[in-house]
Parts: sequence; structure tokens; C-alpha cells
Amino acid sequence: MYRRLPSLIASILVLLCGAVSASAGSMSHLDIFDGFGRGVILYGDYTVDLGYGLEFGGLSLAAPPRPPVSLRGNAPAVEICNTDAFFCLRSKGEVSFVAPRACGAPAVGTVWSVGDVKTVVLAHYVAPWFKTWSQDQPPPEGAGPPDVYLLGDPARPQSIYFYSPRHGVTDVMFRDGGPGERAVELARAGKIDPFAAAKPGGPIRKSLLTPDTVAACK
Amino acid sequence: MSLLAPSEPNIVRDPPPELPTTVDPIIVYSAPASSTSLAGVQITGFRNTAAGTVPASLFNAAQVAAANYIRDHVHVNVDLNNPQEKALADAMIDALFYDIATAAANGTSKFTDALGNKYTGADLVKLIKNVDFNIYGQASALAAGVNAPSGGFTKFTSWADITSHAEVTFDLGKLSTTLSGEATDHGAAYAIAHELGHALPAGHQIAQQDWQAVKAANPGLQGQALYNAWAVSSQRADSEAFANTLGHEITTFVGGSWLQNSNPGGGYWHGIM
Repeated sequence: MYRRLPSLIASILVLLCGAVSASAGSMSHLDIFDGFGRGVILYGDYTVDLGYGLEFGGLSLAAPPRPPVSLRGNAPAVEICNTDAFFCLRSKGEVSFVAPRACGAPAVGTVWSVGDVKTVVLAHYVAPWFKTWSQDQPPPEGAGPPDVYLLGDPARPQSIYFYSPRHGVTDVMFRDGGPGERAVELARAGKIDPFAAAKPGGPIRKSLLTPDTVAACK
Repeated sequence: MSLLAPSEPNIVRDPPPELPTTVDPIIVYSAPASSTSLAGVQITGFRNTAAGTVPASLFNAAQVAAANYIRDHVHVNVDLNNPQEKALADAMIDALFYDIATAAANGTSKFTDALGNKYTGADLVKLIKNVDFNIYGQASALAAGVNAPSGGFTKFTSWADITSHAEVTFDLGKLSTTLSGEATDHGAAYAIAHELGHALPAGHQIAQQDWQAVKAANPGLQGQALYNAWAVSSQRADSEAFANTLGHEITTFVGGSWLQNSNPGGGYWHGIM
């Protein structure tokens, strides 16, 4: 019996290693938060943790680091509010939006709503590379999606979202420069070109760092 | 769909044996003091903390060939008031100098690529001379309308002809983001090697085959739909992987080390494509 113990332990270890390996191998394809990957989303240093219902960091560089928003109350600071037709993130902080599950080309002015969460398509831009792409050869290396939409809610004018249907919400931008100078207003006025270089002192743009897509259509 | 490239390499480059150095030398080049660009970069020597400056007049023939290549084929326009940008441009020039000087100094040595093509050092120098590099800072890239999507890309005078002239363009602003924490000498050397992997005829040939395969599998697709098909295709990944493979082979040939980086953000992030 005891002579067989080492081989038994070895067998268990092999099985365990196999299970861990299989799990690790499929990690990048997990979508257990239904459109929100593994539930931890980083836009730069701005963090949304759907498992804990936390949202923390600051989209405004001028603002000091904040404690997790959910520490201010008992309810989750951020939660998924998906429906059959929409992905939806409801937040007490900065990142709150609705996007359709179905792929399409939304017109500027389109409004998506789930309960109290509303998102308006504020603007649409086409990538410069796409305008000159001959299609007899591949897109330039690393080319991002050709269509980028700016989304936002006039009731939360300080935040907008960069969205491409098949790539989801790829960036968030924050600007609260007072009336007429808030992110939603600037986007509607055509003053935020997602393909232009950032200007010093301009709106703060934070890109998705985590590998899962966020609210990408399927 | 957002895809992380698998662990991608960075490079540690050993100096060519001709140089009397125990540390990485830095290339010194001339640029007008009042200029904000480095157009027409001329190599004037090596600066080295151990050996002092090695003037170009002491260069051997291989090093002269490399310096002349950079003068004639590397077009640099960066903001000299942006130290990070200038350092990245310096590192790219440095990497190219080593690739060419070492290949030229080992003209009869050979290596074989993954397709079975055999190259001598002289062959490699000749092929690289058919490639031009544009190294643009963020502002000049924007002014030139480059908008290199992820920081670097290669285009050809003729897509149909794998021997046609190739042009590699870097947008250092975007490349810094793409390389994540690896916008260093190693990351710059990796970016140069990877784009050479695309730009040489073998890389061009693989890209042609991969593109044709995607088009054949998706007849009639146009525009956004065709982009989407390419973006998620195994063929796109294959083309990028081949560029890494050939870049690795070139780096090994010139005496560099190709390190696997466990940081998924290291090396090129082909991410959102």
C-alpha cells in the first residue's frame, strides 16, 4: 500500500497540473461576465472590478486618488445591467453605458437605454488608413477598427466612450471644463477626433489595457 | 476582438567584436543644433563610457557601410525637445547600425530562414539596402499623415512583386504605447527586426500568401467586413509570427540574443487588430 503511495501522489499531481494547465490555457477566452470578459477592466489606471462591484481610480488626472466608490455605501458601485438586446454597465462613478449585442452601424443620434442608463451616439469617425486602403493588400499592420463611434450621456457630460461594434468600448475620455467644454459637448461639436494625437492639457483619454473586449457585439 | 500576441521577444544585442567596448555603445551623429528634426542623420562616431568616442574615421569597411546606409535610407524626424522620443529614435538607428555592420563584417557567413531561403551576410546587407526606414516622432507623423496604427508598419512599392522596394514607417508616439514598458533599446531593436521580417522578400511573400488565403476564404467581402475577416484570421497571426521568426533569425545571425518576454505587454502588442 505505502509503496504505491508515491505513484498515487504523482498521478494526482499530473491530473491537477493538467486541470490547471487547461484552465490557464482557456483564460483569455473566458467571458463569464457576459460581454465584460473576466470582470476586471482597466482603462489605464481606472479600474472596474465587477466581481466586487468596485470602481476606483480617477479619470481626472487633477483629482487625487479616490477610495473604492463602493465604500461610500452598501450598494455595489458598479454592476452589469444587461438585457437580451443590450450590454449595460451601471455605475455610480465614471464608466456607465449601454451598447447593443447585435453588430451594426449606428447613426449619430441613436439612443440606447436600459432603465436609467442611457447612451447616445455622439459622433462617428473613420480611420485615416481605411480611407486610402486599396484592399488589394492587407490593412496596415496593427490597424485598429475602421469605424470609431463616440458614445456618451448628456446627463453625465464629463465622460465619453470610444466604441467600435466588434471591438467594444476601447477607450474612455474625461473632460469637465465647465459648460460647453465637457466631453459630451466637445464630442458633439466635432472637437474630439479619436485618430488625432493627444494635446497637452486636452481631454484625458484612457485606453483599455486588459485583454478581454468590453461590450463587443457578436 | 482584442487579441494579445503570445509572449513576444525582446532583444539583447551584443556589440560587434570590432568595437573596443564592454558596455553598449551609443551612436553619435550630427544634427543641426537649431533643428527640431534629425533629417539626414550622419553617423560621426561611437560614444562609449569605457573607451571614449570612437570617431568615424576609425571605422572599418563594414561600419562605414552601415553608417552610409543610415545616411541614405533612414529618414528621421523627431522632437529633439522630447528626450524619450529622441532616445527611441537613437536606439533604432543604433540597432540598424549593428545589424548592417555585423552582417557586412560577416559577408560569407550564412543562415537559412524558415522557408529554406539561404542568406549570406552580404545578401542580407543587399536586401536591407532595398528597405528605407521612416522614424517619425508623434508630431511629425501626424503632420505627415502617417498615423501608423500600432506604431510600425511596412509597405511596398509593388504588392505583387516581392523584390520591390519596401518602406518601414514608425510613429514613435504610438510605438511607445505599443511597446508598453519595453520602449527601450531592446524594444527598439525588436521593432526593427520584426519590421525587417515583414520587409524582406520572404516576409512579403508570406504576407501575400496569407492575404490571398483570407480573400479566397471570404469571397466578395469588402471594406469593413474584409477588415474584420483579416483581423481575426489565423493568416494575419501567421504573417506576424513569420516576421518574428525571420527577425529572430536575423538577430541571431548578427550575434544578438532573442529573449522570450513573459510580460504579454512586451514586444509588439498587436492587440486590437
